[in-house]
Amino acid sequence: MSFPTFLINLLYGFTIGSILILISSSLSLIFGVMGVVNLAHGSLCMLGAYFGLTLVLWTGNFWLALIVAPIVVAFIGFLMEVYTLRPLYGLDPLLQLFLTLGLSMIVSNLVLHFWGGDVRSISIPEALKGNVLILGTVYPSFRLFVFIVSISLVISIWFLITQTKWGIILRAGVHNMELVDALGINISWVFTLVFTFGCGLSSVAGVIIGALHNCNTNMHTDLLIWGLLAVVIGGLGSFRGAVIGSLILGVSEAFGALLMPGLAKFTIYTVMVVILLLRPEGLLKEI
Amino acid sequence: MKKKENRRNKGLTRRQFVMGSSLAIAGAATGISGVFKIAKGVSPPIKVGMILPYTGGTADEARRVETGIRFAFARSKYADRVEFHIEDDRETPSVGVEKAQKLVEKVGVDMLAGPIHGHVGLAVSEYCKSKKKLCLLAFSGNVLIAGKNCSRYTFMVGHTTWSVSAPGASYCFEKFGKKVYLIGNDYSTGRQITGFMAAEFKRLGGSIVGEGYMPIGTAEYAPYIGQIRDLKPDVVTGFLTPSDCVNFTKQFDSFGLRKAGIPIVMCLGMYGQVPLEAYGDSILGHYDIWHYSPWLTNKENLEFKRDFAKWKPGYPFMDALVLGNDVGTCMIYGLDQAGGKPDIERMVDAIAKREWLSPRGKSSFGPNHAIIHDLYIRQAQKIEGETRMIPVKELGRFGTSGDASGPGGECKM
Repeated sequence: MSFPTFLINLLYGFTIGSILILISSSLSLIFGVMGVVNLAHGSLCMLGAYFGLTLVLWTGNFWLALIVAPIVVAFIGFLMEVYTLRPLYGLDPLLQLFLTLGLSMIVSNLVLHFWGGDVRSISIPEALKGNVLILGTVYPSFRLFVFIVSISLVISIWFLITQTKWGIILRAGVHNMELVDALGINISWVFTLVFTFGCGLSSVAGVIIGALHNCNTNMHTDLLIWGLLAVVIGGLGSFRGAVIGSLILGVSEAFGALLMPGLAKFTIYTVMVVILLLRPEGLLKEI
Repeated sequence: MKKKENRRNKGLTRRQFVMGSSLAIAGAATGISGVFKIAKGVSPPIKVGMILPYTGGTADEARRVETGIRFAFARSKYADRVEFHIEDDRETPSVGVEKAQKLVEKVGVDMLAGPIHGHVGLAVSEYCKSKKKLCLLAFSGNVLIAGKNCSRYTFMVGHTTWSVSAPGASYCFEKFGKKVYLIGNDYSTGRQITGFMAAEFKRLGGSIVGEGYMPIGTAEYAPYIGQIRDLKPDVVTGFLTPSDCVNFTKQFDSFGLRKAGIPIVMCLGMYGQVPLEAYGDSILGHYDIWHYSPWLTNKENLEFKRDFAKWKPGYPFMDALVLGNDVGTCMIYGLDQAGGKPDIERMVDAIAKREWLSPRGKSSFGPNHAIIHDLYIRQAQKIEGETRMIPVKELGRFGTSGDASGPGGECKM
């Protein structure tokens, strides 16, 4: 393996990991605060990709799509939480699981109905179409942009969680939501805020994936599986754990595909099994 | 009170009499009109079943095949008689067979237009063989159906995995060079095609410098692109499903390999199976191997495009329409030769001998019922602001042998 190939794969692993962070961290927060495994997460991410595609086709402006599509999906998430999930709080968690699974099917079939089954792609802005040289190796500018944006978002969210009042409520909620409720904080709205924010964050990933790869009607399945893997590896409910888990998965896939072509998927599941055998609760417990 | 009740129970009321009479008259009128219809010689309907993947990534392809078949019948004398019965195979063999059973045994279709995916096509063909039901495959090109799994009742109207790959290897060898990198999705079609290309390259004296196989749905190709960069092949060839093909081609370009002058030659016409806008400029200059281009200038293609545009104005014109149309015209030809009746044995005998000028060019069937078609190398070019797959080389006519040495094994019908 040459040094450029090694470097490309390392960078690629970090890039994929950084996109995964946007999906897995929101999934982890939703589970940590609300106790809900949102099986519609991949579909909402896919919806973000398709809304982004439509906005770019209408306006020719990628930046607008990157901002507006997540807002639209966040609003849809808000409606989902208020009108479908909220009535099920306090009941058997299996009901929430089936509900989100059903919503996932509805969303993915609506996408197929309105946008069709053909593979589509979001155009990358001209300014990001070239390459940069990193230690003598050619690397696409857009991938570097993706890495920078994702990490910036992660740092912002981390600041939000650790330095603001809402962050304190969030962290307290992960530990003990009943106590938070007893202190007079309206947990219904905390749930709504977390769910809405999570949907918006995952659809940022959707727009990025739509440009980096493509928009297709099967993408939600892989996105959900990857998100769940990162959450499980990182520790359920742990934001930091989801970040670390995502980077581990990204790098594992990069080098797994390189060293054992055709067995890339085997590599990431093996990594998951090994980590869980060593630490069944995941890498981290704390948010 | 009692007397009144007794009178009511004994005979019909006036209301009942009027209702009953009306029903009787209506029934008689239907019967009479039925007699008139029979007297006029109106034939029973022709039931055409379609098993296509209406969910998943090839849903739009399925609709195009269906539209092509409908178009063929709309232009025929069977337009008023034909009934279409459509089922979704969900890209799964077991579901395909289940739907075939439903169409054949419950609905009673006279003939089937088959699936898109090779593995589903094989399963449905085997079922139709057991039921002696005519099955025409628009897209499904599993080479085994032209070989050891051939059937008297199945016609591969589109292509086989061999006929749209191996014959193009010599063009790649002569034009680009002898070092090839093979890339393919790790399933039957991907493995078959890369295997055929590898065999042809070796036969010509070329060398396989590297290979990459990945599951369907792979989003990231950076590891393979890194390999390709290191190995510096003269050409990259193989088969990837539509979504993977878009990912690979875009990333190949973003890492600078297109500008470095390494061409991609996709088999099975994969560059024409999704709207080319999905690729942006990343596809320009690359090639594929296929039996059709919307930009062919033969008379049949120009007429087909013109007539289709009149029938469905604004409908995006893509390759699968032509394949569906060819399936439809084969069914119609078979019906014509069978006196307008869905006599399967007569239809099969007729279709097997058919030679026709399709929009694709001259077409016919081999003894194994696999299509013999013209083959082209197409290149992605930007013309009038639009990316098009333009035929740059006509390779000749190719079928798929059903001999023991054939790519699918020996066909014994």
